[in-house]
Amino acid sequence: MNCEYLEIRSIRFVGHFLVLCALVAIPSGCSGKPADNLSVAWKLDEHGNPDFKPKNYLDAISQLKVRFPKIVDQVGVDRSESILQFQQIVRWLPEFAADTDIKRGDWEQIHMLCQTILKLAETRKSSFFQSEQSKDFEDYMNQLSKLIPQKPALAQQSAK
Amino acid sequence: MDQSILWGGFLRICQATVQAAPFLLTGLFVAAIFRRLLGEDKTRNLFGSGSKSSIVKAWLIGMLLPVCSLGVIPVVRQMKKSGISGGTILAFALAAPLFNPLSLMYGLTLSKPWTILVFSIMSLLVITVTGLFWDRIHRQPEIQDEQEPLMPKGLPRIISVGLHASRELAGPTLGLIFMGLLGVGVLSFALPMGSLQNDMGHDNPMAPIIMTAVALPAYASPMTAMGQLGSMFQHGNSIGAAFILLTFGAGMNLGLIWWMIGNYGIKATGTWISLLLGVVLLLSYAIERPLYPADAEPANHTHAFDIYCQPFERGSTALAQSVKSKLKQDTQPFEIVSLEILAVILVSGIGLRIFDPHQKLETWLAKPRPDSSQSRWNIDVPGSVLGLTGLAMIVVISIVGCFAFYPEKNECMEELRLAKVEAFTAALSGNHTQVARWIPVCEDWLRRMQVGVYLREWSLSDYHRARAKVFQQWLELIEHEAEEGHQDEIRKLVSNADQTYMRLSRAFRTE
Repeated sequence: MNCEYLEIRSIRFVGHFLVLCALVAIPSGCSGKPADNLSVAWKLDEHGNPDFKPKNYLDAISQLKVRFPKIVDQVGVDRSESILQFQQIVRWLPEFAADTDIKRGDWEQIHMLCQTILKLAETRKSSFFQSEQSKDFEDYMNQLSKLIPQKPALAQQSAK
Repeated sequence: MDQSILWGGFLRICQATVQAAPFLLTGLFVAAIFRRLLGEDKTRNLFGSGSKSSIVKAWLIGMLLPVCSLGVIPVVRQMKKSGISGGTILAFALAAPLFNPLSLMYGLTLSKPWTILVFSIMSLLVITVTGLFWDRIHRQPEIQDEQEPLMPKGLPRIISVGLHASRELAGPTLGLIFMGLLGVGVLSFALPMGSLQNDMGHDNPMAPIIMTAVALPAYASPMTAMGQLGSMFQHGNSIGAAFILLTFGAGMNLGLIWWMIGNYGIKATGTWISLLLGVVLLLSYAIERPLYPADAEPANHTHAFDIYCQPFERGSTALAQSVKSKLKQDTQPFEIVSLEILAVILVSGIGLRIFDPHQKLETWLAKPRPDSSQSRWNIDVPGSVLGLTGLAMIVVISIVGCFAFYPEKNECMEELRLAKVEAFTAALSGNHTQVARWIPVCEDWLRRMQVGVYLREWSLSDYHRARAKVFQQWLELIEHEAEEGHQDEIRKLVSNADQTYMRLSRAFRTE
């Protein structure tokens, strides 16, 4: 086997590999369509937080209560940005809760509820954001509100 | 040239030397074990050179041995002398510094441990492709150096291991290590203070390319790279850039590239590095979206890469004093011990090269001696068994080292409390230099506490992670406000962070 033959085979080998990588890269990494779990380039405040970040747990619950019907009402328009922000606020809930005097069991319930909401809201064609789901959504919000200790410590988080 | 640039470069080189010391020491002894206890043939058998599985074996052995990209230099030199194929050597050289038991443990407690697992599988993919390619383009006969006779059992064999480590450090390895460290200095000359704070965002398509330019000459120990990865995941930085930081920042340095050029020629090295760059860059763009953590909070800037930039502002004064205090503050006790041992090895190596350049001492040690009285307790253990036991011991020690480096949670909590008091006192009194010093110490103990729990209980609950994360966020806020000098804001933050600390303490101690 001469050197030239080996070199040609090597180049073909690398060529095939790079094409394979490119085939993987283009659909998964380089497509313009944002994935469900992807946070888009949000405007950040001076602390590097997205400007819609709630002040604390209760504020987050209030924001979700306001946002849900608005998303439901968005018919025939692209609501993906609103859903992404909604999901992000749900993700913040356990974090806000972890900065209170909450007990572990209660925190785990909040975490579990948030995971459930995220699962329901995660797919683009989710049926979660429909008026028929309003009752379920309210139930979730009520449960989440009840689990957090209503103490002054919460108010202090507004400094964040 | 501004003096601050020179002193800054000097500080960066010293910091890298200190970080590399324990790993370099390990690398020297691994190389000496290969040479003196295993011997060339057994070393080749260990890696299965020439066989199809040799690259995977090199990856696996590399993952277990705690060496960095500088510590791997004496090992790859010895592997070359043993006649192992280039593809296997390069696979080992690239894989060994990426992960070790300590850094893997750290990585698995990050918010997305599967990302680390994906990274390790991708590293296997990268080294397999580049290793197979290398063996195709560089199909040279595996030439091994003239075999030295194995040392007789007993004390001569043990002494010869130390002698080999000494001669190795005082030889070409030292030059290659210096070359690797020089890259760190050059990088700090080129990058002004804090210049990478805004470049690694997930939404910046250039982030992986910028990281490639930085990471190639940079040196990052496995632990540093893993710590930076954690920070990148948390702050929503580019995942592709994180993978590049791990592959090139931790896996390569200029010394290693120089060694490759010296041994395989500039054309083959250039081709291999180009392929490596192509594969790694393609993979990094491919994983950017699928691996991006859903709960990442994109930050508008990060301090994670400040260690590659100039540490001093232009026109700074009292630079020598600053360098001294920065080194004192950053150096861990185990790094000091490693540096001391390295110094002894280096001095003896220089002495040996000056006074015994023809290795007469080794020849004398290799002379057969009459057998001492054989008792049933004085068993003749073959060198290869000793060698493999030695390698296994290094792995065991690094696992035991995990328990020492990541102590039990109460100990971590106490250290965290002390560091927190220092940081908060400094913040309240407006001493921003001390804030910049103590906040990273707090963050370090916070991470160590989580890893320590994971190590002992094999799990870390989401609840504890969340408690730690919110305290980490308060620390970052205080650090940023201290930089800005907003004292009123700092007072509020410190009060809240103190409460969060109490909750964190309660959670880890009692829940």
